Amino acid sequence: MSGPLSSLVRREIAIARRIGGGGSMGVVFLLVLVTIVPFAIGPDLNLLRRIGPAILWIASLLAMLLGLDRLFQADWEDGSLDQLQLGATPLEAVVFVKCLAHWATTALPLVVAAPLMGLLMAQEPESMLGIGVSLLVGSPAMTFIGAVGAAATVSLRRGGLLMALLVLPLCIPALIFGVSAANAAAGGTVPFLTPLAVLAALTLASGALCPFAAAALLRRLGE
Amino acid sequence: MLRYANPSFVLRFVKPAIPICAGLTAILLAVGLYLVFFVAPADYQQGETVRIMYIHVPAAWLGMFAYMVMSSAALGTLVWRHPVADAAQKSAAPLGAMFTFVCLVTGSLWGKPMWGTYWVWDARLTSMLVLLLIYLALIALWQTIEEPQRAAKAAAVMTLVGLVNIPIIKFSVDWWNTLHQPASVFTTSGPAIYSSMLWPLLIMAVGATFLFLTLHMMSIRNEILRRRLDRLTHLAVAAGEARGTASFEPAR
Amino acid sequence: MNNPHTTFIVASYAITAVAVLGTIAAIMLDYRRLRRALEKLGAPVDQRADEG
Repeated sequence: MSGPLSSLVRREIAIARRIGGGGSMGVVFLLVLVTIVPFAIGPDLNLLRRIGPAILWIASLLAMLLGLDRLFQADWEDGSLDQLQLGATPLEAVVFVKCLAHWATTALPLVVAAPLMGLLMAQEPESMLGIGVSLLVGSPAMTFIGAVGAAATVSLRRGGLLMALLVLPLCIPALIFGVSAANAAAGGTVPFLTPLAVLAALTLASGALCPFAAAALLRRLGE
Repeated sequence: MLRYANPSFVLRFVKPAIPICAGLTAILLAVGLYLVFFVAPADYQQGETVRIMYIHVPAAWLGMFAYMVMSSAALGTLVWRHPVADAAQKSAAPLGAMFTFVCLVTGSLWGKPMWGTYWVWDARLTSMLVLLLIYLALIALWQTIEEPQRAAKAAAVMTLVGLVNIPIIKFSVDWWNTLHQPASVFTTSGPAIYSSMLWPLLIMAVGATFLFLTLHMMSIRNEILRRRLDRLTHLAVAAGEARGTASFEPAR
Repeated sequence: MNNPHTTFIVASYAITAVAVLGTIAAIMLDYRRLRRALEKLGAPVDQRADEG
């Protein structure tokens, strides 16, 4: 890996750790969401077992949106975004690396925690594994798509809600295939690998395309 | 090509074009509605409710057509930076949202007598609902970003990202639908279309397209004037002209 | 047209009419307001003052 990009990864992770909370706060948010769901729909374990994967996927999606509006905003405010643009490294690569670092600090903890919270939703071990694997494969897609929304709203003081409006409809495919992969792992008519393969394709495609869109949005800021 | 990018040229072009298109719209819709209510037969299966189809299908078509128009304008914004492309893009979003909304409402009013419920998570209806969400998000983006040029660029990129996503969403919603719904549910494959139904439908669709074009041109003209007004207001304020400065309304 | 479904047909045409006419009215009012504001600034609107 080239020097500038690896130092960018180190910088992002160091910032995420010092600011604190990013990852662990997302996990707590996930726990809170999982806790309030039974209060809304009742403690029926059969029902919870049936909708558990879906709830965990939606909760992870929302938890991932939480910190996403800050992805480029801090860099934009203190001017380091301008510095990153001036550097020799293409902005697309910078965006890609920032997404990876953000994914590692906020989504990875969710991927680890969500299957464990399946216990609260009466999930079987296979199902918990399915949730974990499908989130691991699908969550990068949501980070990449979210990065486009974050780049579009970077100049707004309160862009979080608008970013959610922009990003959530675009996350529907990932949600559909992620939940059906998780459900398939719990037993069903669909083989587990079919939705998982589509999910992987979504992640790869968004990883290939979204950095270009986000970089185009960020580059326009300076004009 | 650059000639057409000139806002003054566009203003001069739409001045005669708007009345012509409006006239065509009125004639086509009048003929279409006459055919729909007095000539077209009732469907043997769906009865009179099939008359809803004549607005539902054109509205669905225009909901998608408006997105195509918006995407080409978005390309214009990103590649050539036409101010007119910005205006075309901004004006298409509310119109597309309106047609998509009409499509959803008529679809659900059609569904109630047919399916016995106002809403079915049918693949087509659901895709249209997602399209409406995308339109609404774009409108919110336009309203939130103050600076028009920055808003145009952000909206252009988001429009094109949405354009890439729409087939994927369509595909995944279809997949999701076959997964969750038994085949026994009434499918909207529709009745066999006879020519006595096809003609009114075509005329209504063309009329609705002209309606969209008319409204789009009127709206583009508004956006051009709005930008001109913004610029003049800034100039007037900068020049410190006291005359009437305090009474300028915000032009939004 | 006397059947139990008339309500639905009338309702869909009525809602469509309201949506379309509302859009037309909004665009035309906007146009009028913009032109008035431009005239107040003494700017030529680039075309004659025929009512839009």
